[in-house]
Amino acid sequence: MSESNKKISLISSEGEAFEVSEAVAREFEIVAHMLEDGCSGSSIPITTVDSNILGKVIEYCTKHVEVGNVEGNSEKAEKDLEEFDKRFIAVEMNTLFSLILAANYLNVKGLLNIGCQKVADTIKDMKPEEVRSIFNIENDYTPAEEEVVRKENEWAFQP
Amino acid sequence: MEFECQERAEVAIVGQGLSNQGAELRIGDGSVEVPCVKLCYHQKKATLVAPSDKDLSTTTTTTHRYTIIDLPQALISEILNCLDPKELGLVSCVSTCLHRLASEHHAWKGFYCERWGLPVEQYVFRTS
Repeated sequence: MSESNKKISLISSEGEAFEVSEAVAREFEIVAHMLEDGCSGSSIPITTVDSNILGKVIEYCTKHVEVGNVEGNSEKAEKDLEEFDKRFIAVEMNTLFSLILAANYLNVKGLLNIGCQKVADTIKDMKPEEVRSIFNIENDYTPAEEEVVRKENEWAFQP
Repeated sequence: MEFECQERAEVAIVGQGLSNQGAELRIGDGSVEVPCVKLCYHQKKATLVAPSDKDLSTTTTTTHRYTIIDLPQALISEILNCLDPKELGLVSCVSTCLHRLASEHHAWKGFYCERWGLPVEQYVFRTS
């Protein structure tokens, strides 16, 4: 119990400090490794993640730690967590990509997985033109090249 | 703006200081260079505190719009792994970059195993 009461400050790229319990900080695998390697400092700079995104990642980890600590009604808790994840990841694309990058850097696997899944779900059932416009991707094919590629993948366009 | 200019000047001095230090080491003549080295240490101390805050704040003010192709290749592969072959076919028509990634399907498998271990383990876990 005493361990979970220990507080750690995570410092965003803007220098803003987020005080979290050690249990939450350990959800960031990068931080967990630092602590295991004997980094006993109470503040850890997360220089590549800004306050907005760091706050969100902490929110995600806090919820997951809270639910993980509840014993008993595991089925309900799991369902709640699923709902939370769904709501949590329903953000605009730019934030979603920032979250994926942060989750990758901080090594928060659960968040990385739901982030990647969300992007994949968005791509699903979309035409190439729609994918381009939603992700702001430039079509760098020449018309001739595009025709060849479309022919190659013609089967994919059939319902 | 004024502050930024000052900082740049200081950084340049530190750079000079360092090269002087290198020169001093080669010459091995301490009497003149020693105060110079001390001086640049002082400046270094002063600059270390200020710009670290400033530099970070400037990086965050640049609102960059991320797109899927800005992600590291391993992460794009991670996303493409969630798609079935038909969807991969469609994705490869989006741009040459995605075509390349979608075509190198085995490369993703390598990335995936390297990063997360064998996918088989997860599969066994799910069915049990």
